[in-house]
Amino acid sequence: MLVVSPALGAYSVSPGEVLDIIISHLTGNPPGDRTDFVVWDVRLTSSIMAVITGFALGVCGSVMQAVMRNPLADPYTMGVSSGASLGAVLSLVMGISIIPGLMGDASVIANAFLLSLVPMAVILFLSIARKMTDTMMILCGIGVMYFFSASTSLLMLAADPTQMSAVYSWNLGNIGIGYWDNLPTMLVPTAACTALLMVFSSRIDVLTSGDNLSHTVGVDPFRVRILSSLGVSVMIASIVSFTGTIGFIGLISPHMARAFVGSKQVYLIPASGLVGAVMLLAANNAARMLGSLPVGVITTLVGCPIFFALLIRQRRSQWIRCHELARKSSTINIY
Amino acid sequence: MPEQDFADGYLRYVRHKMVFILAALAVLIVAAGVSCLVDGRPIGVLDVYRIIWDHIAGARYEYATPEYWDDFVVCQMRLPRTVLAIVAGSSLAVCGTVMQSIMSNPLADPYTTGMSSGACLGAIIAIAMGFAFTGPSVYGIMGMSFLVALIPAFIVILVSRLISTSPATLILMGTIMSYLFGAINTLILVHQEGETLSAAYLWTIGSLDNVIWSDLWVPGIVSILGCSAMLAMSGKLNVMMMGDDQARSMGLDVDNFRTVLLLVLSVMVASIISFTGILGFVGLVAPHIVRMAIGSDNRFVIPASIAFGSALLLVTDTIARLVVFPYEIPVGIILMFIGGPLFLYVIIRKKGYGGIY
Repeated sequence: MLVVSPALGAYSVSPGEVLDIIISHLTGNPPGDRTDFVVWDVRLTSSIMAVITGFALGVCGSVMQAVMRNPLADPYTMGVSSGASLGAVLSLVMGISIIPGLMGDASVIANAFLLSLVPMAVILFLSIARKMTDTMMILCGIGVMYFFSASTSLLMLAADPTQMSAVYSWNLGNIGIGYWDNLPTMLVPTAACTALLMVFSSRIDVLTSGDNLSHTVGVDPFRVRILSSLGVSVMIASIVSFTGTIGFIGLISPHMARAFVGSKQVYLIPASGLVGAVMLLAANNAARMLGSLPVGVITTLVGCPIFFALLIRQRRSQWIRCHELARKSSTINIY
Repeated sequence: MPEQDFADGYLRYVRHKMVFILAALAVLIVAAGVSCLVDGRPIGVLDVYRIIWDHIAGARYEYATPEYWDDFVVCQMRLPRTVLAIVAGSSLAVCGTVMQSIMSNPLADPYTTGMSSGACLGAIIAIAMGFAFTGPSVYGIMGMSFLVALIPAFIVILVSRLISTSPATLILMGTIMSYLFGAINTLILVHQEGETLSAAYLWTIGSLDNVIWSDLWVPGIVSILGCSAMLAMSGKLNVMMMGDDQARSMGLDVDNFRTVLLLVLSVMVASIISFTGILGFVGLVAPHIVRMAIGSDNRFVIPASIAFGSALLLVTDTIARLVVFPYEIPVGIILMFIGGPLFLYVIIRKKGYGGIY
């Protein structure tokens, strides 16, 4: 897939040529012509970005669904992405850094990280204070998102028209052209947080079967929730500040992965990440072939109907039934 | 005399509500005057009313005299916007009130159920593709936006008839539909140049900018007709709020009533949205504040929402013009700032009519 995808697009290159170019770069003598530039510097970076982003979103989705015990959870529907994008816009357009003294990429990521914590915190806090249903949690996320996206729009009005058009497409989620320099900043947090979440995976498993049960087996649900939310937020912040808000990948990929590997987090986290990577890569190719659309448009077009189907079929789903049993058994809340 | 007490009690009940409605109307009239003051030429508050009155009374001035310019600025430049704010505010607030009653869902509103985004998409399709049923005229744009606004309306009806869902699920579907419409919107708009895109973007936020008198006929008439129809229906709406079974036993054809009302609402929403862009949350905020003040008897809530909704939109629009003075921010953003927290509050509050789950 990674070899084929640079071949697609307006400037035609065959997959074989792509492979040649990649190998020649790896062995240390790049050809340096136009095809080489298109493949190595434009399309390959964009594809790698899509893979990292998709992987991160898939992992986040799977962890959030488990931690929130909510099959509709996803960085996008929970408002995490909107918080991160507000933070990023704050620093890109206005040059404001919440933590003083940071510059450039660091301040973008720090802003995005801090603001992406807000919706998660609101939802976690509310779900402790009140008994909430799955859909209500998502609606809370959407409520927070309205607020953040209003602030983002307000900031965007301060931008001039050309900047605005860039920010607009970024707001929809756009991978576009990647740069080699950006990749490490995306890759490192993603890898680190995935590793962290994998370490926690057994505890997250315990969490899905209800707070009471996890107390009995000696796992503090609150701490696991906070830690995994932090991990998710760092990952999302490092991704969103480069790609903008890409919706629904984190929602769909855990569901697809769950069909193959079941719902044990040790397998589900990497599987869902891989599914996410493949899907976003495909969506990115589709977006490029349809004439450089923002990839977020494609994922939304595909994701919305699936979300719809999930909502309608909610009662029949096995996952939900287990989850509701767990909820019934934990009616006496510890908090 | 118990009968006397009863009558007194009822009078007090009505008086309390009438006071609220009159207060909202008073705020509306003051706000209308103030909204005509903003920007440029200095004219006193009382002068505004005098100028409007003279204009209606038929006063005409010689060209380029100070009186002529006062009259021109107030009546041709500022008043249309004020009137549009009143029309849009009252229509959207009534739509919100009625939708909340017929779906027994405190979160329903043209925006949260996806009707506004549908109307907006329809208008953009009509404008961008020149594709409309009666040519690229005002009516074509409105017709198209009405048709697309029907999609979410009917999905909402179908889903609530076929599958028993909680109100929260219904709203979630509406939200997802507005994402979907937003994505299609982008698909259409993405290849426009920066300037067009920026204009279209502002339009999806919703603003009352650039309106002239001749634009106002259609939305004005539609909203007057629609609001009066809903006022006439308010008794039946009260019956609907008791739940479908109760309403049926009182002799109301629930399903058809709901369908007809949603059709009327779609016309109202489309006629407003195709001019202003997506103005979210008026239909959510106005009825809730009204109900907090005067309870949920629709015979009073609807007129009160008309008055309060238009005052709300007028005040927020004036604020939107004043915040960064020589420029203005789209009023939709300010509405979102008010609406988002209220939306959260409605979800998490413990009790209230028609609880969300």
